[in-house]
Amino acid sequence: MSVDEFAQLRRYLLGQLPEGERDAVEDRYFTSAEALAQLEAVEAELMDAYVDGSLSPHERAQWDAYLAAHPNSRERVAFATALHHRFHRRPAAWKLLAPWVAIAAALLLAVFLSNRWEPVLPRTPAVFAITLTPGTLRSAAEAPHIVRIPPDVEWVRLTLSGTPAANVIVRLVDTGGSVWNAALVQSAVEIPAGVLKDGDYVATTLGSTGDELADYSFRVQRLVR
Amino acid sequence: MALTPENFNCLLGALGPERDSAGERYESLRRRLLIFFAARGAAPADVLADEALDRTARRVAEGVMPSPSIESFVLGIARNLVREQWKRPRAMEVDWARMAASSSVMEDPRAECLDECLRSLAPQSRQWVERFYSHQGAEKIRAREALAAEIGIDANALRVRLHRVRAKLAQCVSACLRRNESCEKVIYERG
Repeated sequence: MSVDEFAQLRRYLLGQLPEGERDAVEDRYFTSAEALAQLEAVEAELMDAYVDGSLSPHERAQWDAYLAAHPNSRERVAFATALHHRFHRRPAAWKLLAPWVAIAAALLLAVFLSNRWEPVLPRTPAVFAITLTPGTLRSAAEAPHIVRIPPDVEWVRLTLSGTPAANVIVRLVDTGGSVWNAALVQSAVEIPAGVLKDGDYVATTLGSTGDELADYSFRVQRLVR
Repeated sequence: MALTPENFNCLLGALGPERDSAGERYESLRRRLLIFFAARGAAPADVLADEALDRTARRVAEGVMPSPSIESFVLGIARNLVREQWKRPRAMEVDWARMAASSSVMEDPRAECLDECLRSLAPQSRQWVERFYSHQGAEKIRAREALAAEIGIDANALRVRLHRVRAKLAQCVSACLRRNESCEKVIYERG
């Protein structure tokens, strides 16, 4: 199978193919096990791209629609996220900060400060944390909450004040209508920094029955080096 | 409508003489249907997939032999279902909670299971996963091409092989989570 055919499968899953091409793809994967395997490989790649933030906003919105229709999306996205974090994110802080590690770190710091020696430590992705309060802009004259994201940040942790402790979903929408969803854990959600481009966003918290709880408006400004 | 046991047995019989292989063919047919409905934006895909399978099973029970193959016959039924759904009012809208992407992995129990499952992979498969997933975006594609050249296979063939390893890993993580959940339940009940 050629690269073009894989690209066609990707466009099929994103709902971008014209009717004739779409029907031909369907005929193929309904009658060939090999074609089904190729389609499922592309489906997994899209899932990986979704969680690592490499889909364009338009593709992200199209993939959101696919996930909304497909069962087990929550579990499949959670697996893709875990796989991504396994290779691109530091372990939880409490694991790193076992007491003996803290002592060793303090000694290293002392050596570093006295000798200007630069220890070679494993690279950890940078997380930028902000806290938002509920509120929606009612007019253009109102000053939005500005979130300035420094360069090299890989994850943005949004803490949404005033949210219930459990069973809350966050729906993040930009002005282009692209949507990003996540489950809130301890009032916070971590978003791949690549998802947040310059522009205005509204994060809406949703309860377990889909009812809207609160809106959090903010404007992102990506800082450059 | 849910499949009745009688109709399900008829459908399995039409899918093959051996129950195990017929069951596998049924599962792969259902996976095709889920992708089909999701790609068409027809939701919920699982309900529609079951409806397509039920209609096929009923036709088989009536003595109709699907041609040229059951898969093509089911595809025809699925296409009709999509047309019917568009004619109906959209009663079922997106259920956000269902599709929630639990991207926050603080204390995610999957992390430990994933480590365990990675260790259980064959060394070559584990090496593939580590080499491929340690890259992001366009670098991932370059890493896959380099890996394919090293192994001596086509990069697209490697995509399918990598997916099989990934699917195996996902199955292993699900089983690990279920195991841990049942252990916690036992400890809780005893405690």
